[in-house]
Amino acid sequence: MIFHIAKKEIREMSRTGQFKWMFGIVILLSAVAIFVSHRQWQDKNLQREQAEANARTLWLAQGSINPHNAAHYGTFAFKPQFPLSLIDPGVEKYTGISIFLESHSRNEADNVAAADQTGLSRFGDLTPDFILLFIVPLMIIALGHHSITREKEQGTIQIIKTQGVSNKQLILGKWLGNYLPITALTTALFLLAAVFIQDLNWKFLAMMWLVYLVYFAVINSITLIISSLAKSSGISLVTLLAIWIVSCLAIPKVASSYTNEKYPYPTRQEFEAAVAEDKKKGLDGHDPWSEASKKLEQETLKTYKVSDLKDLPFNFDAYRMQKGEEHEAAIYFKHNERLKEVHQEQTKVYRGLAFLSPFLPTRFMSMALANTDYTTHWNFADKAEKHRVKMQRILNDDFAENSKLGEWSYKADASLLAEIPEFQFDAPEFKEVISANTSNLLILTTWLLVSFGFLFFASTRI
Amino acid sequence: MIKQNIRHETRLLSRNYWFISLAIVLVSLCLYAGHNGLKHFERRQVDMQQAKAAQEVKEQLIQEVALALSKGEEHPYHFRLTPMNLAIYTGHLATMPADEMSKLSLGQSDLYTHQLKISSNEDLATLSFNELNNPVQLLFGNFDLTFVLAYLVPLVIIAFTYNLRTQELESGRLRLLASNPINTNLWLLQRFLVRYCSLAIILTIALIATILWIGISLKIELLTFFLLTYAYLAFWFAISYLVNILGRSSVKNAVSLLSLWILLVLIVPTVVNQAANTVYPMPSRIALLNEIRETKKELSKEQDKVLDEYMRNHPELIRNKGENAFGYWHGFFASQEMTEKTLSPLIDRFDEQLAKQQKWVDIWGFLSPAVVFQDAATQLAGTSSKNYNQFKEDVRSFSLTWRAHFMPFVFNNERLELSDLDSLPVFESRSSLDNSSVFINIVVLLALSVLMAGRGLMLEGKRQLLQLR
Repeated sequence: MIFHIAKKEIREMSRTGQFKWMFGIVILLSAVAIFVSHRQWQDKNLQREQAEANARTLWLAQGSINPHNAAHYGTFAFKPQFPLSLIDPGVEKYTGISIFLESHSRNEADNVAAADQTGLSRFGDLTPDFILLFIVPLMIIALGHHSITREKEQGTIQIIKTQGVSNKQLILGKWLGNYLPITALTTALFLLAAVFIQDLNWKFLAMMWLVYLVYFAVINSITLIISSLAKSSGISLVTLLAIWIVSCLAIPKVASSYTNEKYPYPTRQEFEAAVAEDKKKGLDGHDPWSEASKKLEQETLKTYKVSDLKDLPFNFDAYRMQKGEEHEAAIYFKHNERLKEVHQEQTKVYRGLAFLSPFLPTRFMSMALANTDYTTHWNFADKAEKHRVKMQRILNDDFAENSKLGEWSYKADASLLAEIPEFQFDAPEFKEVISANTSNLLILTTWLLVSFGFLFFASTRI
Repeated sequence: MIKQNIRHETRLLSRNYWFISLAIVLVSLCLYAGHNGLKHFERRQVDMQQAKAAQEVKEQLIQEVALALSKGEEHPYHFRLTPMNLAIYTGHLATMPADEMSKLSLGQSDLYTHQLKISSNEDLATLSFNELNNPVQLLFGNFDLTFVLAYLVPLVIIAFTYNLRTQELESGRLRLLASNPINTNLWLLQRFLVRYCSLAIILTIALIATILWIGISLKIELLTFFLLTYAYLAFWFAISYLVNILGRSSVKNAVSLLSLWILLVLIVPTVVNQAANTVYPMPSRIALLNEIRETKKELSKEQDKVLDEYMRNHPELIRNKGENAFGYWHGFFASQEMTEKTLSPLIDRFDEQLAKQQKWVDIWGFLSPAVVFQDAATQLAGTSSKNYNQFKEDVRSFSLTWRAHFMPFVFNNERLELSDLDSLPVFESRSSLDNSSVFINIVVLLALSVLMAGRGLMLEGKRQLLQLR
């Protein structure tokens, strides 16, 4: 019976001009979004690959050089562009994509795309995730808001009831009738995107598809609940749109403003000043006269039981450089951990508010699965920092082992540069992404269950 | 007719509890949005004060050192007065003070920094203006007054007017009205005008309450903001009027108007933005990074030649004493200038492309009233991209001034004296942009409103009654 109703709904729907128009427009927008995103994805990917290769060539081309000069010359870590960012570019636009790796300082990721765009970019981009997150829910509302109210307004509800259909069957049939075309559309959109995506990982794509289907199921349930309870189609439509605006536009913005007020980030100026202040207190590899340097000198002499730095089995200048580097790395670590704590607090607020809007858990899940969320960016920054620290150690060790005190003219063999591995950042495993986002999944599932619960409740009120 | 109409509408509205609750909702939305704007403004102020205070401490030290040295005393920090130390480590703080109006519209202010240290060794090509922020916040945007006015108020207008005519048509009263010797379209227009005025009054009260609370002094920009808001309201009332006259049922009107809202507020801006990025793609910034390094490397190979050429371009720096013993910094500045000269066509490409994008957006943005409104509102608030581009430009040009100021000292190997500290260049942000384009936006919104209202007025108002027969 449920399927009969669903079939009738779909047939009736597909005959209306409104449905055809809406479907046509959404399909057209999706196709354009995928096509344009694909082109931009490819361009950016090529740029990154070229830049990465160039940076490596330049690094190696230094030839025989003093290791510390090479460390100052530095190189870049580039964040790879992950395949699914074609569907959901997430926060990519607002995070940098390259980090300069040099001695003595941990640099922030740079080259933020949004800074190279006009103010209009804040309205959003026409990308597949925009259509999935904003437009498809609107379509569900437009198609489903009158599915029950219409029967009431036309008086056909009484006739249906005399046919021996239970309210539950009716509402489930209507639910399915409204949901199946959306499922078809979503599947088509994902399949189309899959054609364009390189190195596709099916697990991520399938999960993302599933997340959106759950999101749409929640919206569909809410639509039918309101349609069952509302007196007229007009009221149903207005209520649903108000719900849409609140959950998709207002709550994310409220969340953003609230977290910004409650857990603000320091400004770049403040952050850098705090780091500089801490750095000043400790060992500076370039400053042999500071107190910290003198202390290190004494300690080293004691450890190696020698009376003169010249008698050490290594170049103390380079050794001090490495110790300074370690000290600075610890400071950067400390301050970045603090920043991360603020970020964690902010994330908690977002998660708390996710109970108010199914948009939020979906938004976060989608970004996480596309590897374009903020956590991925942090992982990238941390990995780059680890790489930088390792790079400094290799260079300083070589300097210390192969030269004498004061021998600043020492040049290492060109092969040393090749010993520094190329920076590699891989997408996290599927399991990692899921376990990092269990709360989002849980909230989304709760939304699904609760909305179904209310749907059954609403079916008693038809 | 107008008097009766006004009396009828006001009575209708005052007896409608829906209207009163709407007023309350609008006032609370405005107050909450205003609160967010105020908090953001206060943080900006505090951050700037802190940065300024930190800079002042540094400058104070320089003064002290200079004073001691001028008296012929020794000072452990004497090296602070060497030109390079002063130009790099003390540097100068460039700030972009927040305008009071920024409480109304946060615009791009969460993306960019408002205080930047200028130092002579900074590469202008890679100077970053980005503020440290959670990118999720940037993605979601802020709940500020501009959001309430640009996104939410149109929906209120739609809910408020979508069935003004069709309600009469559906209940059969329109037929009754049409039998009177009146123009039904004019009658409808009057109803719309009354509602427009009522909403404008409510919004004015809400805005004034918010403004008094968050504290913005009366000035021309504020009045222009009000004017802009009225023009934006007029656009949505006019479009609703036209749809009312064309539409036949209340439900269809609601769907049409909401579709228009989605199209104009949600889809058109993203499409225009995407098109701008596609038609005028930005060159690769990361490719530029490598270009810069390659150029520097090429130049460092020919260090002597570079310095020679630099001296040829800057004869004023050549010392007459005959001993041109140039060291590290001389070579550094010579190659810095040469690098920038060599790379400038590449760097200009970014600015050119962005300018083209801006032009594209300025033209096609007129397709969406929300863009027109947002653009004008952020300009009035001093938080538009244009304001930040101006700041960037000012900072870049000041950086050159700052650098050039120390050159004679560097090349003469001279330390700065106490008297030299008074003549250090000071950064001044050009206060505000020419806001005449805001008036263009207002005029466009008003013109569109008049056109739509005029078109509606011209249509045969009774045709549907005839068709119903």
